[in-house]
Amino acid sequence: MPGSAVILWWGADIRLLAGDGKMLRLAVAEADDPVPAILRLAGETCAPAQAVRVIYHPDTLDAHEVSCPNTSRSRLRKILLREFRALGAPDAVWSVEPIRRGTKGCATVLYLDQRSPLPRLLAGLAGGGWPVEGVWPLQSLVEATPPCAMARDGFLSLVVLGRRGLVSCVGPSGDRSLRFLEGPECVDGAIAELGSALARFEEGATPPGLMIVEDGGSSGALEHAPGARALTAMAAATFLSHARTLPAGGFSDFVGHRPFLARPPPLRPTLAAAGLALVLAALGLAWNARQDRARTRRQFATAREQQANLRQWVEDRAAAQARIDQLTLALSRIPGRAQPLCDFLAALDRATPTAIALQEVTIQGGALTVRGRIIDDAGPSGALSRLWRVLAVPDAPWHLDDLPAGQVGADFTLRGSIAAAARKAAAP
Amino acid sequence: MRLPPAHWLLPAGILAAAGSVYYSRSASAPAVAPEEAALQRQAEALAGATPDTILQLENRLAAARARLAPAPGFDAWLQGACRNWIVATRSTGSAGDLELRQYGLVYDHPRMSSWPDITASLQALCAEPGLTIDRLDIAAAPDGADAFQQVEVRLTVLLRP
Repeated sequence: MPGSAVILWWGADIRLLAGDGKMLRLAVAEADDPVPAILRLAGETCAPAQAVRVIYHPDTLDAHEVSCPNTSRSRLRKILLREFRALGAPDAVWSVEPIRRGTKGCATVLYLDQRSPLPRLLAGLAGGGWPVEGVWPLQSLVEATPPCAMARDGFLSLVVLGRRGLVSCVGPSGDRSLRFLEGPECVDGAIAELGSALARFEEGATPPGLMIVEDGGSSGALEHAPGARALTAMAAATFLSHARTLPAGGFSDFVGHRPFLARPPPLRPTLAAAGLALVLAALGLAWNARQDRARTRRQFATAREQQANLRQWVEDRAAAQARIDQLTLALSRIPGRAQPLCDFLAALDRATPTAIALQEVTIQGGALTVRGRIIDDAGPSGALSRLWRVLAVPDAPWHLDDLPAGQVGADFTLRGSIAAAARKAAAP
Repeated sequence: MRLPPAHWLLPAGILAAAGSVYYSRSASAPAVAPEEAALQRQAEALAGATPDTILQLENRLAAARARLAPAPGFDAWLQGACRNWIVATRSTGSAGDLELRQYGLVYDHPRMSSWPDITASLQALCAEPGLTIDRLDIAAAPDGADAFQQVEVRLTVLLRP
């Protein structure tokens, strides 16, 4: 299966590494727009739906070596925005190299293209059905290509393609420097820069690195330049093929980050749907709660009404009870007939035999006392017992106490009560 | 349909959900007033206090009051019912809207032969509604004399005004 196609856009020099390893080169006139030419080249070379990677360094791209804190890319943008206002422009395209810690602290390289044709290129590629996996600066490709990718104590790189060159260096202490060259003096400038970069290393050191030279006329001079012997020579196609290892959406990817053509995060519609679902669920919950509250309010109102009715009923009944108590008291104060008293006197009159002479009858407050004398010579207790038995009948409305035991004398006293019957309340 | 931005919709959804939960939790049913149970107990205790009961009691009271003797003619009635008795004491008072009288009666020269008259008088007193005999003293004369030493009655009577 062919790999991604790699497009190198370096000024007017356009190269396309096809999936099968074939590399095409296209030179665009200074006044011409490279985008249609690149799209035409892609149309002739790329298979349908073939992924494309872009190494991007047009003439409009500026590179700035800047000091910065070791932070995230979004934070870095906010920090750099203070110095590079163009970063805030809506059509600005920018990228930064991964931050390196050197002798003067952390630093990076800011690439800023204020009037970038990249959006049109990406739109054209997308329109042609070629998904773009990423757009990286040239230095990122250098640093991702062996042996630079594995060098621990710094490296040198020399890239000369046509009349354009890049000399970059990461010193032993981590300081990064890069220099873009263009024009007929490109080779001489590259040799000079290579010497300057080599001076960052200890004398006699042979730092590893890359050398990509695609100009037969100047390659001999470059190969004999100081420090160039230790560099790994690599064909341009091989060099470009390493672009397939660059991480999409990585730190230096132009299109992997906002503000420029940020890839639509796949979570966004999911989050939106989740938010919408939450809103709907919340509305449903609120509606149910409202219904519950209304139902509860109705039930409570009914309960309160019933309770008020019950309270009124109890108050009415309490008033009725008070009236009943009042009437009962009034009725109790009206005594009935004192008939039991007369009945007792009549019963006493009838039951007293001739052998007994009554001497005193006293009834006071319901207590009755009968005193008498037995005048029968036959015996002291027989007549009295008979009298007591006649009077002390269970159904009588009076009560007589038992006879005192051992009655021996003639005088006797009967005691009892009649109060309950005599003072009974009037009854119908 | 174009969805609103997620960075607005999701917080809005979370806020709405939180608000809904708060609203639903705050919508708990208000408790029924705790006096409900006490009211129920009072209602059960007062179940018998009906207008019918009042009506019956009012009728009974009215009947009892109607049976009372009228105050203006009671002295005359007493003189007639207790012809041989002397009113030793008499006092009046009131019990609500009724007149309350207390009498102390002494039988005049009671002999043993007066006993039927004494019992008849007492029978008449006892038959009178609203009349209470507070004290009755009957004592025979000592040594078998044909007379009573004491025949006294103290009574209280309620009278209609």
